[in-house]
Amino acid sequence: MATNDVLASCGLSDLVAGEPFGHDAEGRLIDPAGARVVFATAQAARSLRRVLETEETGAWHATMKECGRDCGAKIAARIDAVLAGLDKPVLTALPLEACLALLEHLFAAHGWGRLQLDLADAAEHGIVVARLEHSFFVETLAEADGFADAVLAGILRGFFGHVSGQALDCEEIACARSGAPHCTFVLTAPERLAAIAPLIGREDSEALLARLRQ
Amino acid sequence: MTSAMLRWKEHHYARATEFAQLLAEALAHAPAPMPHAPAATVPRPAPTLPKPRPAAPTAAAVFKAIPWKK
Repeated sequence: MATNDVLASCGLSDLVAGEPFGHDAEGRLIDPAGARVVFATAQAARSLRRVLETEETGAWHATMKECGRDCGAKIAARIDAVLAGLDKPVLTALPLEACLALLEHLFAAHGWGRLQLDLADAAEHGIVVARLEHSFFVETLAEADGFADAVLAGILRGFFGHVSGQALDCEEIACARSGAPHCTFVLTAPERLAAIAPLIGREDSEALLARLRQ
Repeated sequence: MTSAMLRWKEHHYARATEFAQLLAEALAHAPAPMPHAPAATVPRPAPTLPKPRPAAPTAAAVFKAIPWKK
């Protein structure tokens, strides 16, 4: 079922309809609350990475992941507030498909990429897999080394931490920037991810997922 | 490196958490209604669910049943 159909079936079409930004009398871009809005460019993302990595190798990855965790939790809390304002159930009380569809919509709406969530291993193996195509960070930071999507791993961690009520972690286990067909993330308990952490980047995503299924 | 830059650098690490929180606030900014996304209109495979469900369970019920620590 298409994302919009899932949301429509739950009466949530209004949540994702309409134009998010307008213009004030002076022609400035504003959000619905009237706050002025500017967009950051891909060059801004490259510059931020360069500054942090110049400060200390690894600072960009660590900072972006922590930033993403905080961002993901904020996003989930804001969606809850919007839903409550519409007299709709909050994220945890929505049917699972609608909750996942909102997150997938959110990724596309922010321009982060096309996200697909996979819970096939959740019930038996306690892991949730997310696959991302057309990652903004892969395309923007194409010249850098290593995996590109630390902030998105953090966002998934923060969002799923909010809706699950569990202390979860999320790691990117394959990245299109390193030659994988798409970026792959896995969510589970922090200690389980810590056990495979030394192998990330050395083994492909299927091998790492197989280890988590054992 | 100038003395001003050194002061900034020393200060930077002391406020790394605040920096991450401020950047997260900027990234999380999404007005309501959420922005329309063309990709959302494209049919996609339904999320692969643990089992077929006769009555759709809530997200909370599904996530509570997942054995995260296995």
